[in-house]
Amino acid sequence: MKKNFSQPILFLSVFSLTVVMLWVYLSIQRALTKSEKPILTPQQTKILTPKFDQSVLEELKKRKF
Amino acid sequence: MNLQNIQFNSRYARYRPSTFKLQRIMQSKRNQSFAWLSLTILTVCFFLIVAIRPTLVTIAKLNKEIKDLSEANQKLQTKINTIVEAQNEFAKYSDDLFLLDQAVPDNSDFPRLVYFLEQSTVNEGVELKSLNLDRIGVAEKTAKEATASAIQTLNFSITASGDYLRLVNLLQDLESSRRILRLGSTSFTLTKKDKDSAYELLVAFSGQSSFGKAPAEKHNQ
Repeated sequence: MKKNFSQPILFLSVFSLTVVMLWVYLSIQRALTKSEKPILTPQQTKILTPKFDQSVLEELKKRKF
Repeated sequence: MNLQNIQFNSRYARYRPSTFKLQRIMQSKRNQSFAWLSLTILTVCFFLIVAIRPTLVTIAKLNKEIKDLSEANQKLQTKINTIVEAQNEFAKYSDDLFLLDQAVPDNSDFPRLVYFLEQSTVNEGVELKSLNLDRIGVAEKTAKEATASAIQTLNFSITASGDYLRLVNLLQDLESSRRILRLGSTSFTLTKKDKDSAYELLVAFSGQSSFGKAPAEKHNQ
């Protein structure tokens, strides 16, 4: 019986190419989405609200010391 | 030389059938195409794994880093703007900020507090019967302790005698002092020193005065 080995090797090659392509795609996706560590701490990103309640000072001025 | 060739041929003679078979397979045009195609695909796979994937991953990582850093830069710029605004606000009220230190001093400053309490009784014309202050530590606290209990309280209790209106005025004076005093339970009692003497109105109350620095965390913001 005559066996042809070329065809299975070709299928195997195509399958390998598909797997490698998928692996490359997933690696790129992972690199694009995953952050290793946050650059800024929550404390650094906390926004200040620089409003001073002047009425407190006015109230304190009226009080005795 | 001939002897060497004979030895070589005899050593690899057992592989000769496979070689012939491979040659026979490769004689077909179709098989040749399949073989070359397979070889090409495997070469592409090899370069994808060894060269292209690491390069693309590095590019993706750098892109992500640039994006993250741009976002961080934007957030920091916003924070810088608010800090500048806060600095302007601070400069605007810097002349009056001593009032806050007087309201809640950094340390207990109990001599000044005692003087203030005594002066208030004198000003209102009531007699100060007793003045008790809780014991407070004067030793420097460690940084950890200071953070844990940033604002502390100094408890005091006073007993004074006088007429009702003066005693009420004394309480009002203390409540409206610049140093923040929190008055607790207050009780008025009418007592007699001895059988022959007149009745005497006493007021007893306790209070708290806060002192200490704001937590370090707040300073860092």
